Amino acid sequence: MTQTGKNQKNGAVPKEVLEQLNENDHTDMISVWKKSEYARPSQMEISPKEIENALSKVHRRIEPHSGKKSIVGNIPQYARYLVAVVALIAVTFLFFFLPRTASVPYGEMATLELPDGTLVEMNSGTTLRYNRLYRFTDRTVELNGEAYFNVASHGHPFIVEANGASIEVTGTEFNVRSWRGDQQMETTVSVSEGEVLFYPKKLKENQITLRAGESSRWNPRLTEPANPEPVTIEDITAWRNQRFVFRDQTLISILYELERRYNATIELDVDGVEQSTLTAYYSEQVQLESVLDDICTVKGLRYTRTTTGYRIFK
Amino acid sequence: MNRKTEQQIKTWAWKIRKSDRKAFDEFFRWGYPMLVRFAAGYTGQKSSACDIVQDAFVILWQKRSEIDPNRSLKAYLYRIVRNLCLNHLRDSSGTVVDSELVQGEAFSSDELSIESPGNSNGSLDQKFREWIYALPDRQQEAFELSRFDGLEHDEIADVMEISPKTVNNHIVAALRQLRTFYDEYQKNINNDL
Repeated sequence: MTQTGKNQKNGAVPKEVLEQLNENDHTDMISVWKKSEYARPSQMEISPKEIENALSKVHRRIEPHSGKKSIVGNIPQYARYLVAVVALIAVTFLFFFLPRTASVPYGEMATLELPDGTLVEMNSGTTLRYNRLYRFTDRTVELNGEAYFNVASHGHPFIVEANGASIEVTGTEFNVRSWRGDQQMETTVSVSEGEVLFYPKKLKENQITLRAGESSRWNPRLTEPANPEPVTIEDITAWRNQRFVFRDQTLISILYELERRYNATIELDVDGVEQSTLTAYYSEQVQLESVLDDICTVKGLRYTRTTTGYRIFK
Repeated sequence: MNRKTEQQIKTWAWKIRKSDRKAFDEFFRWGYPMLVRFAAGYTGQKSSACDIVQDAFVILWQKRSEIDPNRSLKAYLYRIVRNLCLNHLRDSSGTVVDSELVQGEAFSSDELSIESPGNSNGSLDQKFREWIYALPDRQQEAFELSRFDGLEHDEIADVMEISPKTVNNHIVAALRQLRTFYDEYQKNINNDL
C-alpha cells in the first residue's frame, strides 16, 4: 500500500485531497469531511452469525465435497491440471462421437437439413442418427424408418446405413425405407435422380447400381440386393405429400404405417391375414377411418374403435 | 486504515495465494460486512449484496494463484464486487446500464437502514446522505470509497479502473460540492431563525 496510509488515520481527509485545496479552505473542508462521518449510504449491521453463515455458504461452494478433506486435496497441483486436461479431452472426444439424433413423432412429418445442406424428409416415426463430425470425417447417417434424401454434392460420399444395408451416393435424390421393427428387416431403395450404390454393409463387393426410376430391396437373408426394377417414383414418395400408395403390400406393414402416420394403435385380431397383400391408392389426404373402411371391405373384415385406436376383427 | 491492518492484509494475501484456508476465513470475516455495505450501495438490497460478496470471495479463492501480494488485496476484492454489482444492475434492469447511471436510482429499497447509531444529529446525517446521492456518480463512488471504506487513492484507482489523479479530482470535487451544500443549508437555518 502507499505511504499515505500513515497519514490517513481513522478517516482523516486524505493528504492528496488537502494538497489540492486552497489552504484557507482546509478548516471548512475538514469540518465537512468530519460531519459526513455517519452519512454512509448503507448503515446495515451484519451480525457475527450472518458472517459465519455466509462463510459456510462460501465454503460449500469452493469445496464441493465438504466435510472430509477431499481426495483431491492431497494431489499435487500439476496432477490436478493433468486430470483436468485429460477429463476435458475425454469429454470433448465423447461429445464429438456421441451421435446426434433426429426423430419424428408418430402423426407428424419433418424435414431435416444436415450440416452439408443435404435435405432429409422424414416420414412419421422415423429416426436418423449422424455423428457430430458429419461432413468433416464422413457423411454417414443411420436410418430407422423411411426418408427421402436430397443429397448435396460434397467431397465425402454420402452413406445411409439401415438394417445392415448401405446406400452410397455422391449427390442425388432417393427414397429409403427400412424399419428396424420390420420382420424381414428389409431395406427398399428407390432413386428419383442420379445414381446410387446399394450394398450389404459388410459385403461392399456385392453392390448394385440403381439409376433414376429404379428400385431394389435387400434383407439380411440375401447375399446381394435384388435386381433393379422400374418403379413409379411418385408412388414410392407419395408419403411426402401425406398421400398413400400401397402396391401389393402386406396388410401388417400397411397397418404399421397407418399407426405411425395417424399416431393410433391398430390391433389385428384376425389370424392368417397379416401377410396377405393389398393394393390401394389415395391421391389426397384421407381420414384413417376411410382407409380402414376400404381395407375391411376388400378383406371381408370389420373394425371397431378402442380407447387408443382401432381393432380389426372378422 | 492503520498500519497493522495493512500489514495483516498483506500477510493474508500471501497465505491465500498459497491456498491457506484459515487466512481466507480470517480475511472473509474481516471484509464481509464492509463489502456487503459497499455492494448494497449499488444493488439497494441486502440479499443481493450478500450474494454478490459471497460470489466475489468464491472468485477470489478460485483465482488465488493470480493474487499479487504487492498490490492491495482489498482493492482487488472491491473491484470484483463492483464489477459484479454493475453486471447485476445491468442484468436485472434488462438494459445496458452505464456505470454513470447506476447509483442514484438504486436506492429505493426499504431494506436499507437509515439509522445512524452513535450520532444524535440524525437530520444532518440524512442531509449529507442526500447530498452524496446528488453528486455525479463517479464522484460519489470515489468519495464513498475514500470516506467510508477507507481505501487509499491508488486502491480506489484499482477498483474504479481510473488513474489515482482522477480519483483525487473526483474526491476534491465531491468535497467542494458537499461544502457548498452545507454552506447553503447553514444559511437557510440561520435565515429561519
